[in-house]
Amino acid sequence: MDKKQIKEKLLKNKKQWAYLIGGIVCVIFGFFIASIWGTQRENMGLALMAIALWAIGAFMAYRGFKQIGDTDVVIVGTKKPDTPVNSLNIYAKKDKTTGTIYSEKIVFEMVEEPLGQPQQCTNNGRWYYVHLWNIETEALEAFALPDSQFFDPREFANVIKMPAHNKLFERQISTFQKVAPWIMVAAFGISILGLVMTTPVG
Amino acid sequence: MNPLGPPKERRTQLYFRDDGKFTFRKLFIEDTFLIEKVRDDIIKGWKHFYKLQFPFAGLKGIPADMVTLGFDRDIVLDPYNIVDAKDKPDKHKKINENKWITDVADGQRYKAQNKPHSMFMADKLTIFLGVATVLVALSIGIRAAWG
Repeated sequence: MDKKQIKEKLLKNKKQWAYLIGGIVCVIFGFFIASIWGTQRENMGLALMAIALWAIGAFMAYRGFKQIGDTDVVIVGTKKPDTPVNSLNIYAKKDKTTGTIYSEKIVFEMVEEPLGQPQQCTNNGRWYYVHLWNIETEALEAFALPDSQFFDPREFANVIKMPAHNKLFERQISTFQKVAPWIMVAAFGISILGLVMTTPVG
Repeated sequence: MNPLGPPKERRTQLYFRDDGKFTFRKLFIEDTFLIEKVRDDIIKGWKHFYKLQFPFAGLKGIPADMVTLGFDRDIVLDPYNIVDAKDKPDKHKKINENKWITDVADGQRYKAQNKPHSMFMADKLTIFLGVATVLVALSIGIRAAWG
C-alpha cells in the first residue's frame, strides 16, 4: 500500500466520521431551533428549519453509519497509470510446473500497435482497444466475446429468484396487520394535535 | 461493526455490452451470484467465481477492485478456462435440463423455505409510530402533572 492509497483510505474514513458527527450536530441544532420556536410560536420558518435540520441530520448520520461498516479492498500492485493509455488488457498467467492458470490482472496500458477495434468505456466515455493475453504465444491478441448463446443471465435471474416457489412461502398478512400502520398514523396525529392544543401560547 | 446491519457485499464487473461498449460497474453479491437489480427485483444474474476475479488497480473515475468479466449471452465468462468444467454449467444442455442449474434452483428453493419472515417496512413504521405516540402522550401527561 503506497502513501497515496493510505491517504485515500484515511480520507474516506474521515469522511464517514464527518458524515456521522455532522448528522448528529444537525439533529442537536434542530432541537435547539425547535426550542426557540417553542418559546415564540410566531415564526413558522424556524419550525421548518428545525424539521429540515432533523431530516438532513438523519440522512447524514444514516450515511455515516452505513459507510462505517463497509470494508475496503485496497489493491496492491500495479499503480494507476500516469501516462496516456489506449488499451484495456486482460492478463492471466500459467504456472509452468502445475499447468494451473491464474487470473493475473486487468490493466489500462499504452500499447504501441493495438489490435482489433476500439471500444467505448462508458465510465469515462473514452475509447480503448481491448486485448487478451495469450498464454501460449505470450502476446496480446484482440479480445472477442464468444458468439454462442448459452445461459441467458435474464433466465438465470429466475432461477435465483424462484418467484413461483417463493410465492408459496410468502408471509400471510391479516387484515389487522394491514390496517395497523394507518391506525398508528392516526394515533400519532391525534397525539401531536393534543400536544399542540395543550401547549400554552406565549 | 455497522449498527444498521451487515453491509451488502458488492464486487465490480467488467461488463461487455452487445453494442461494443464496456462498463465497470458494482453489482451486489447474493448467494455466490453477481446480481443486477432494478429496485428490489433481480433482473440478471451471473455466477461469481473467486478464481475469475482479476485485480484491477483502477483508473481515474473507476475505483480499484477485484473484477470479474461478464456479458449478456452467458452466466460465466471465462476466456482462459480457469474454472474446472465440472464447476460450470454444461453448455450442451438446456437450462431446464442442466444439473448445475437445477442444483442452484434446489438450493434457492430450500433457502426460501428456511428463510425467517423478516419485518416489513409497514411493521417497522407501526413500531416507530407506536413508540413516538407513547412518547408524545407521556410528554403531555408530564406537563399536565406539573401544571
